Amino acid sequence: MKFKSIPVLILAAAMLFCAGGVRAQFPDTLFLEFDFEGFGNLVLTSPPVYSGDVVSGDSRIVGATWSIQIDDTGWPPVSDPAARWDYIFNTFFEYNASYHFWTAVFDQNTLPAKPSWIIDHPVNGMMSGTLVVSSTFNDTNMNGIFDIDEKMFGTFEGNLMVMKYGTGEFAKYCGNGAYNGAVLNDDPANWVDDYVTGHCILDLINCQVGTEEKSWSYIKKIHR
Amino acid sequence: MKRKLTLGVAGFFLILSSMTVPVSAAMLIETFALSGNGSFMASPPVFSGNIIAGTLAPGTFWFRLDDTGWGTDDPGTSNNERWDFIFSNYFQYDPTPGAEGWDGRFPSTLVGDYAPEWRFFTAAGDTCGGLATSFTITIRDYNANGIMEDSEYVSKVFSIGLFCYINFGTGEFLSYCGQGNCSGTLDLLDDATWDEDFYVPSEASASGRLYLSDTNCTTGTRDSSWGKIKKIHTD
Repeated sequence: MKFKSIPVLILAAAMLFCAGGVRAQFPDTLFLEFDFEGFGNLVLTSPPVYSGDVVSGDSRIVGATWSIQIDDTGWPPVSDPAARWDYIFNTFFEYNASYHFWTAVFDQNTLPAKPSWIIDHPVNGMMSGTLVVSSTFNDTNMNGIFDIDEKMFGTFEGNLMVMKYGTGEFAKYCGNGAYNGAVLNDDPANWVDDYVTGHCILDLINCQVGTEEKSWSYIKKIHR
Repeated sequence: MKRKLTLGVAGFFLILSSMTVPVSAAMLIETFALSGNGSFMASPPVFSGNIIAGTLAPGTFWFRLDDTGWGTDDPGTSNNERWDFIFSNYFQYDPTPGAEGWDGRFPSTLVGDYAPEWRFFTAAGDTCGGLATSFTITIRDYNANGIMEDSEYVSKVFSIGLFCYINFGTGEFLSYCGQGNCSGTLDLLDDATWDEDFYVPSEASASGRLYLSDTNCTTGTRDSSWGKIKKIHTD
């Protein structure tokens, strides 16, 4: 009986080994592409945080959670949402009177510090960094007033830096990335959360390799 | 991907249907992926190529930047004066430890130039276009020395906000306007010509978006064409 159990034990051990013990190491250059969605609120949360899930795309990052935080030092308190929104609108939004839209930019020029982001995968580890956010809303009736219904839909895009302080499989990487998406709000009059959905790319290289080794030929290996 | 698109479409239509727009209003969500090339050394700089995936494919595209005042490279010097001008007037360094790099924003508030323009042409004969509400390029300072080395310039990322204006619509988009965006990579192909690979992913994702409506697109038509477009700039 004992001898008959040995092959079964070996097989079971081999299966466990293959499943978790020798997970393929991530390559030195990594191009991740994924879709995300989530919620956030500029007006009623301090500091403003948008967060959610990576819902599809590269299998190495699907299942991760993400969050973005904006430094709101100097903004009016969330207890006075009207004053806080007025401050945000007057500080960050610029109107294009010829084409009738507003663009808001959140970066190191308009804030005390660049917004920050984190992506945390339950198995593969964590990445973080900084980003810039640009968001556009259409003045659909072209009256120069940001009406409630015009706050219900907008688009956003920006670029991000990936710090070299990740964990797990992502520990060795740094790089940059970019994203684009849409923001929807079904009740902006009552400051309900924004729903955001979008697409992101991360262009990563192994930053544990010496800087001098990241020569032209090395960088040129970066692939899509 | 399908889930995201479904949510986006549903949300867009839900939101727009609740807005004060006519019942007869029509909305479109167009998707696209782009593959092309271009160079900051060209005057004007144009990034152009093919729409390789999405609802707008097959087709072609171009993005054109305003290079008024950029000057040209003097081949008799070791520097590239044209790039030096671009770099010093459009790019700003962020020294955040671990995330050092440059963000370049077109148009520049320093130079006061016009917003970049863009066009999409589908093979079916439909055209849409407008200006870029933002065109941001990021370069990573991998060795965090505050100096942009050649190896760092090679690989860049960008994001573009799109505003679609009715003046440039033909065919299916004749009466449409709206907004959208895309993001991608800008990688150097040829260090002699500074030709760059312009890529918005991908064959599978077609991650670029245009959200279009045929409502309130009629004001400011002919008098808002070239003459008025030229006035678009950041003061």
